[in-house]
Amino acid sequence: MSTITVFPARKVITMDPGRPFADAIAVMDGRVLSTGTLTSMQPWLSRNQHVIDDTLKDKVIMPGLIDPHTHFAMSSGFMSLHYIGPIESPGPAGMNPPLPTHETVLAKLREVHEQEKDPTKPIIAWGLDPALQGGHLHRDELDELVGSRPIWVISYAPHFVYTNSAALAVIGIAEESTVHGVQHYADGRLDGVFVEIEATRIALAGMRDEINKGGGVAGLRRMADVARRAGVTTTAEMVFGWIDFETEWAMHNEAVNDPTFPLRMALVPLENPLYKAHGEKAVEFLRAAAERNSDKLFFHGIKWLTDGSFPAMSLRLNFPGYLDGSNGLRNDVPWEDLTARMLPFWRAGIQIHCHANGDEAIDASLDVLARLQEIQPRFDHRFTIEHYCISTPEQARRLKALGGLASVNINFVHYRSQLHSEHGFGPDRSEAVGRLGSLAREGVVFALHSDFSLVVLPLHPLTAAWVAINRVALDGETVMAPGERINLERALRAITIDAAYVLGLENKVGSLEPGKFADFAVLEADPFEVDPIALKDIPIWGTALAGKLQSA
Amino acid sequence: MNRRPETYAAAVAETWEMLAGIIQAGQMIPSTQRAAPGSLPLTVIGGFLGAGKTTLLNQLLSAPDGRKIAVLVNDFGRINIDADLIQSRTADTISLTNGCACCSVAGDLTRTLIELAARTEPPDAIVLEASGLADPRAIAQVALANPSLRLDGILAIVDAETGPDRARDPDCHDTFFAQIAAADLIVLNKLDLLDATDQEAARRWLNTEWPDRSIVETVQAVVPVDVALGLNTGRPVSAALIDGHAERFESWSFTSDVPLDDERIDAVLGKIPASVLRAKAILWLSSDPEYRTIYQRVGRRYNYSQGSAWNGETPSSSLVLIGCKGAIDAQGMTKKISACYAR
Repeated sequence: MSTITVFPARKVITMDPGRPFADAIAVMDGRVLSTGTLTSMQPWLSRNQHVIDDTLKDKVIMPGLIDPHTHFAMSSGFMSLHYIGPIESPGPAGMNPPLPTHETVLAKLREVHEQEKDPTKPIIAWGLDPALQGGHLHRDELDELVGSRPIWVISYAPHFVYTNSAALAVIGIAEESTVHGVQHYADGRLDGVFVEIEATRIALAGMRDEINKGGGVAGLRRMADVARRAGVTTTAEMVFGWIDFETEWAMHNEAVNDPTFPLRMALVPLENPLYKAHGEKAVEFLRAAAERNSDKLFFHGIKWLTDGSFPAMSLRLNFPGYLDGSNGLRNDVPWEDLTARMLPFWRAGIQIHCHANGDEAIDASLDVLARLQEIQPRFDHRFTIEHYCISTPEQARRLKALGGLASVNINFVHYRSQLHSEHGFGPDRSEAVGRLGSLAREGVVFALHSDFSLVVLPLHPLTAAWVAINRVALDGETVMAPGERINLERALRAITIDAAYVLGLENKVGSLEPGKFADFAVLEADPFEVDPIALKDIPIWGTALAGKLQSA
Repeated sequence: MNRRPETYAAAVAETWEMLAGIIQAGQMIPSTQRAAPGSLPLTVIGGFLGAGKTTLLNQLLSAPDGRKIAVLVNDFGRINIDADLIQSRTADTISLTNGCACCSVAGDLTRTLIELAARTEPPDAIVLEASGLADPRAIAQVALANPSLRLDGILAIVDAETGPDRARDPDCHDTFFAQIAAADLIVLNKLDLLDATDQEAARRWLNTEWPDRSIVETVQAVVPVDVALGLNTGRPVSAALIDGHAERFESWSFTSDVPLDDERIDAVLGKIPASVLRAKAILWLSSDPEYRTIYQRVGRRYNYSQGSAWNGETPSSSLVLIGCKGAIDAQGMTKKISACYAR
């Protein structure tokens, strides 16, 4: 047998309810060998070579966190955008504070510039309102601020784009350009300001190319680093194949299967493009694709969309609909066709993930599940409703009766529920977004996710768990639908072992039990000891993947 | 500037979605496309629900000139135009859905435009219906991430009867003004529902709020195709299609086989009054004598681009203007342009 590495810790949280806590964890061949104390492990240690690694002796080790619904490939470029607007606005890293003056805008840009060590990496900032923030920017001012690093600043509403000399060189525009809206200094030089659509198009094309240079494999790595810093060791790409199946595969294969990539990733293909490409043969295609699976990168399940989104206010609601009497929109596959489209996958035992945000869409998804059960009854099918934003307690009960699961974007409770009380959905439904209490009472297995970064919410499972147990709104005081709060243990399950279950990975990850991958989240404080309102603020040291430490 | 906080937040979110859409488009658009850069004209039509967008689209689609139009009906946001109401004839009517529901319509729009640009017979015009948006420029900018497209124009349809109320309604005010601010042409529709006094009041209101805008007055959203969609680059510029609209619109054209001075002609073309709705010219300039120079104008917005080389053809300049009846000073224009001869 190989050498055992033992990590003594301040505490090991196993998420095995039978043996929940330990003082140390032993790892062999990248897997968990034993949890307990150095004494309790002696039957293993006395029979094998072992080393004690004290790196984590002051830390709290828990199973690597799982975010079962992310979109890294498509949104890696968004990460390069810095918000500099005059009002508070949510961003991938949390709430962006408002910048009230020209000086605060410049200070923020200077800070971004100083923090970015790669001198060639462009800065792309957006949200500037010249009317409220002390006027326009221009080339010489930006040159002075960031030197030879290219910078694009995009105004609130895309009327203006401001650039410096380096960005103008990237854009490749002549000083004497006469394109309408390309502005000049009095001496005839370009002043770096692009006004209105024809000019901004030119500036934005240069920006886009620059962003996409940093996309692809590099972009995936950048997103993975965000996840690692949040204690995450497993994610699931939930619209795989949306642009092009093989292109996306090549990119993921190169990135994720690299030994230094810090995460495992499930690839959940979107059914509609697969159906367009392969028709009836989609199931066979997917089975063949599974031969490419590795421990780090693997195909899992299949995905449908039934309605729109919560923040874009395009989800589908039952009576009484939206405040203005309208309703959201249905998604790409007609609801009437869903049963027929899902049936081959249902019969093949491929897990179905069904995006449904509003209660009407959840009803539609449950109706389809009920019909599938009539056609061919199945246990343990794990039909999962993704997002599960606006629901009723009765839907939780029906989901349980039909054997389904839920993967919930709970962050909206904190970041958006007060906004949508007055805008879109009205108070009752906005307060009760993400009914985890109802799901828990009915015994439905559920996971928490971020949808990062298609909706601008943080990829940070401890924040999701914090929202789930506190349900505190953005004002920092109001508790939204207190009866839908859940306890801490349940919330931690939803970002570890229950999230693993939702991805069909419960025998490999999600808890620290013998035989599972030694994937850890390493925390600086114990979630069971901190004040519940401070759960999201626990510093994260880093992670371990297959026993290999990866500090953040 | 006093903006209401929630509409402000919505507009900030829209800007984010635009940037996200542009980035996604950059990932999706192939490096080369069948359609040449700038060859597919895009027209964006905005306006509040009920202002007459569907009527206008149907009217454009049934125009008898055989032009192939692809209409992209946008379900962006929550105000849907009913795709079933559009009587598709020679055109593609493509209903966009949120290809990625969490984000925006950007993915589906981008994919559709890639498909259009890949066709052996691409459409002569692409029309994107953009209701429910605070600012149609955002979605236009996502579409224009595709290099095969050029922006032909942004139209805003205003209901003459309800428009002034929308403008005063605090719930609609910001969106209403943003839509009109984005527009190259304002289509003032449903004038027939007003009596003469109110018609005059509606005109006065628009002219006061937006004094420099080109305004097309209509009943039943009847706008000549060559006004709504501009002038097809593939057609001779003198053949402006205003047949059947002669009682309300007029066109004027001019040709010359003498090269023109670029600065002098720019001074003339830059001062065309807002009452001229559309203009297009293929110019022979002394400053770039080997190539055609293309001039296109919609409302106040105009641009120049280099066209193909004359390549042995006899160079000449031709110009056409379309305006409301009485808008064009034909004698004055002829005189001004004649003063631009480079020799």
